[in-house]
Amino acid sequence: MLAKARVVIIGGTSGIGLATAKAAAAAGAHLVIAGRSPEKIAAAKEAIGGKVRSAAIDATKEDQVRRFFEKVGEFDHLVTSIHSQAVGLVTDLSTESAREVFESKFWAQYFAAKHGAPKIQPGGSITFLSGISSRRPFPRYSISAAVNGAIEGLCKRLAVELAPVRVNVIAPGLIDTPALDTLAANQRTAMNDFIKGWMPLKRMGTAEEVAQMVVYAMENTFTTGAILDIDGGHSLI
Amino acid sequence: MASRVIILGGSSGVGLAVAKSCLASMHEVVIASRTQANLAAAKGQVDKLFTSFRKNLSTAVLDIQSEDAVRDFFAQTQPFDHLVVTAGALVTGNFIDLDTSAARKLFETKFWGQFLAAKYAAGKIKRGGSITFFTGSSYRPTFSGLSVLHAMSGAVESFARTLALELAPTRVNVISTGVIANSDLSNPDTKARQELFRTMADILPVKRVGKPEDVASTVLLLMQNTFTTGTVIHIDGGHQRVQV
Repeated sequence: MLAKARVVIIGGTSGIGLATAKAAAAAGAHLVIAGRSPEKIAAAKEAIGGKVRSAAIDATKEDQVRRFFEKVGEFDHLVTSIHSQAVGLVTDLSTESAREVFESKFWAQYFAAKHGAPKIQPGGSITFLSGISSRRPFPRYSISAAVNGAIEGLCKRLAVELAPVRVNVIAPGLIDTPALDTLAANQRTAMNDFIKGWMPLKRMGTAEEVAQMVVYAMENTFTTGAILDIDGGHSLI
Repeated sequence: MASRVIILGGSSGVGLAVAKSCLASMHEVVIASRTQANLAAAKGQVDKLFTSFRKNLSTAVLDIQSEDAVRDFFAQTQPFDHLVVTAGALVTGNFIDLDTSAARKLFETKFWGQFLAAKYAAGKIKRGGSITFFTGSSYRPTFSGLSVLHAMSGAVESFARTLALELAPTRVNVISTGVIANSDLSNPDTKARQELFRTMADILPVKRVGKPEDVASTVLLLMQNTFTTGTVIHIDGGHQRVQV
C-alpha cells in the first residue's frame, strides 16, 4: 500500500528512522529523508538504495522545517524519528540539558507536524515516535518520560484536529539502536541483566521490528490517535 | 496534625481555594504568586474569612518561570510538608495557526514551572510529605484548540509518574481539572464564559461546572492520603466520560 506513496522521514538517517526508510523504500514508496548531518544522509542514501530525495536540516529550527516542507510540496506520510535524552535524578539534572531534550524531541516533532500537515494528501498520516517511559516510569528518566508524554498528549488531540489526516504514536521499549552506544559499559551490563532477568521476550527489540510498526501505522487507514506499544512486553513488568 | 503547605499560584482560583481549605484545617500556609498586588488581594480575602487562622498564612512574591527565583525561594524556605503547584496560564488555539511563542509560553509556565518547583523543593519536603501538580487533560476533543494543553498535560503527568519513584517516600500526584468556574479578578466571568458554563452544565453528568472548592478537596485528599502516589486524578464532573 505504500507503493508510489510519498513518505517524508525526519530523522531518517539512523536507527528506527533509517530502518523505516528501508522498509518504505522496499514497499515502493518515494522517499524524502531529512537529518542534521550531510555525511549521515549520504550514508543513509547508500544504505537505502534507489532514488531518495534528502535535505540536511536542523529540525529544532522552525524556519528550517517550514522551508523544508515548502520545498517538499504535497506528500502522503510523515514520520518523525528523533532520539534525545538526558539521564539523571531530577534533583541533579541541569535544567539546560532537560530543555535540550524538549527542543530536540518535542519541538522538532511539533514543528514537523505543524508545517508538514497542510501538505499531507487525503488518506495520509503522521507517525510520531515516543517511548515506553511515559507510562512505565524509570528513575533517572523523568525527562524522557515527560517528553514522551508530551508527544502522546499532542497526538491524541491532533488526531481529531487534523482529521482526516491520521496521527499516531509508536512507543518503543528497549531497542538495539546506535542511540544505545552512549551507554557506559556498566550501564549496558545492568541493562542486559535486567533484560535476561525480567523481560518477557528476554531481548531488546530491533529497529526493523519498530519500522514494521511504523509502516503499519502509515498503511492501516482506520488507525488514528493510537499509541502503539512495541516493547516485548516491557510495560507489563 | 498541622502541616506546612506551600502553594505556588496560591493567590487566586484553585490555588487560593486550596489555601483557604488548608487554613480551615489548621495548616500553616505559604502562598506564592508573581505580584504583590495579587498576594495582598488574596490575603484580604483570607483576613475577612478567618479571625484566628489568618496568622497561619504568609505570602511570597515568586515568578516560577525564573529558575534563580525558584532556587532561591526554596533555599531560604524552612522544611515543609506539602507542595502544590497551580500556577500557570492557559494558552489555546488551532494547532496550525497557533504562534509557536504562544505554545512555548504554556510549556514555560506549566511544564517548566512545575519542573523547577519539584527540582528545588524536593530536598525541603519532610518525610510523609507530597507534591501535587496540575494539568488539564480531562477535556473532550470537541473542545478545540487544546492541543498544546494536552501535550503539556502529557508531559507533566508522565514526569510526575517518574518522580513518584525518584522522590519516594515523598508522594507525587497530579490533578487534572475540567471546566472550573474561577470567578476572581484574573478571570472575570464574561458573558461568553457564562454561556460556556451553562452549556457545560447541561452536558456534564453532574449537571454543573466545577468550583475551586471542589478541586481544593481533592488536593487535601492527596495531602492526607498517605498511600496514594504516582497517580492522576481527574476532577471534571464526568467530562471524560461524555461524548462531546
